[in-house]
Amino acid sequence: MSKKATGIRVVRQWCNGWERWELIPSSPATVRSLELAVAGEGDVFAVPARQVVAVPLWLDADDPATVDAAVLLEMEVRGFASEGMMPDTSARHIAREGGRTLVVIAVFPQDFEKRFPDVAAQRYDVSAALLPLDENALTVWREGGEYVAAYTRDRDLVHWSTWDAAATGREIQTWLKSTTLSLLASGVITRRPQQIVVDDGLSVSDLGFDHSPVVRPLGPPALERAKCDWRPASAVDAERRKAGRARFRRIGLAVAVAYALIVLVAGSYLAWLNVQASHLSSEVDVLQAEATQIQPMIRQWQSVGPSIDSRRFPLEILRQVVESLPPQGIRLTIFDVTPERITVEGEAVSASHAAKYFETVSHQAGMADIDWQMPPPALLPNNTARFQIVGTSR
Amino acid sequence: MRKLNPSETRLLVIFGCVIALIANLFAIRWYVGARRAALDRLSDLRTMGAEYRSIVAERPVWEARQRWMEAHPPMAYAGWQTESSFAEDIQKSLQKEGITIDSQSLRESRHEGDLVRMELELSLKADLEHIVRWLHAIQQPGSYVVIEEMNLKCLDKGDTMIVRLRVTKIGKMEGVAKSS
Repeated sequence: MSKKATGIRVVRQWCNGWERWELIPSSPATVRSLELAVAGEGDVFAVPARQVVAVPLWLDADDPATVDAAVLLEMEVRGFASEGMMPDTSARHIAREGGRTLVVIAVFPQDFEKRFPDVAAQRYDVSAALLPLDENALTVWREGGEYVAAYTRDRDLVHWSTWDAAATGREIQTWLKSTTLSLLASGVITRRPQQIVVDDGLSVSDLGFDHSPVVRPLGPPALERAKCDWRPASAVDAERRKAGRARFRRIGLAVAVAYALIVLVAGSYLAWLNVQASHLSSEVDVLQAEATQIQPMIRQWQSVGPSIDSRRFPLEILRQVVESLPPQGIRLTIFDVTPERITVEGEAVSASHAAKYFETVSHQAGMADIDWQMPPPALLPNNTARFQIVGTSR
Repeated sequence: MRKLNPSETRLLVIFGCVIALIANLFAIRWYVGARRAALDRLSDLRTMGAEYRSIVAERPVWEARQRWMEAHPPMAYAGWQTESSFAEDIQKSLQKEGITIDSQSLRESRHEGDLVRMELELSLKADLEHIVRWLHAIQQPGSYVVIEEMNLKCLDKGDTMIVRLRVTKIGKMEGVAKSS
């Protein structure tokens, strides 16, 4: 199945009902009839001219802000705006002359959704704005049961109006003449239309022209001069909902990405810890195997160590204790060695002598693995100080 | 399937969020536990590694000690004869230094694997010089004599000292497999 061509689709009402045009660049436009007015996303909907009121205004201002304010005021006067809001209008600035501005306002129906329940197009404009209209011309065509007359000033669309297609030629001519005179009088057009163009789908005789107008096919829609700046409330709501959904999806996606990143980082950290532990475990296994070979030697040595290691001989400890004695002033009375502790007791001529002796013993290089403590010496009646130094293994 | 209205959709989203929150709480709880376990294991392994590394680093020292012990093994233990011989040797060495024995008692020997510890408790009286000479004579590396306890007390008058000590000699049981 071939893929549909991707061009711009325009849905419009014409003589024989609704039709959908497909405009593909550098290809001939194709048209297809529709039973109903149906338009979807991506379509441009040509709102029938009968549904849209044209309000051409000459305003005494050329400053855009003043013009906008004047437009609002004029529209309020005409009952098309209220409380400073013109929700269903589209304005075209046509000309500036002598400090005045010509603005054409298209007033779209407020109940558009009721009139066209199956239309949910992306862009909307009045049908007259979507036709290739001639310069300074009056163009007439038919949309369903209505004739439509559109006026241009130079190449700009300045007015459109409709009349029942069942009207007689005389009635139609009266309608066109009165409209033309009204536009001339208000200065919306500067002179009578240079030419009158009639779509070739119409019978010129039915229109009652007393001279021959230009009859030609108006052809496919043209988007060059379309503005498409109005949308029905439902389309605005739908777009707002769509934007809301898109925002929600973006936030959801961002949260999901952040969550996935956090999970990834946390998982990687855990995996890294486990890999480290695994490497360390194999290293420890190797070291353990080597240490296991050494441990019997250590145990054997430890069981006989006190008989071999001279640093742990009581005599060696006694030697260092005696070696620490000053030439005079200290007399040792008790030297006691048990597996748990070493006790040295003695008498000193003064407490400071005892403290000095304690300092010397506790800093003996050969007994660095012994932690020495000395409670305060007790003073004896003969003014000597009795001290006790206790050493325990660190 | 019927399309959900906005209230139902909102309710579904809230329900989903609550479920996700609960699942995440369980996942975080599991993760914290797993992380702590992994960190504890790493810490244990590092400690063990440091311990084993220090042992392995001392291997040459322990091997040298092992070689020395193999070159100088403890004397063979052959029951009460060995114990008597040990007591006699001690007495002879004391007599040689002129040290008076106040009391002596041979305690029951202790067996540790293939090693036997023969213990002799002594109370002696002598001057410090003779005691030092005697201690120096009996406790030499290779003689496997350990002075487990020693109490050296100076008498108030003179150079005489009272010494109470527990002397242990380590012997090796013949025909007993080496303890691991």
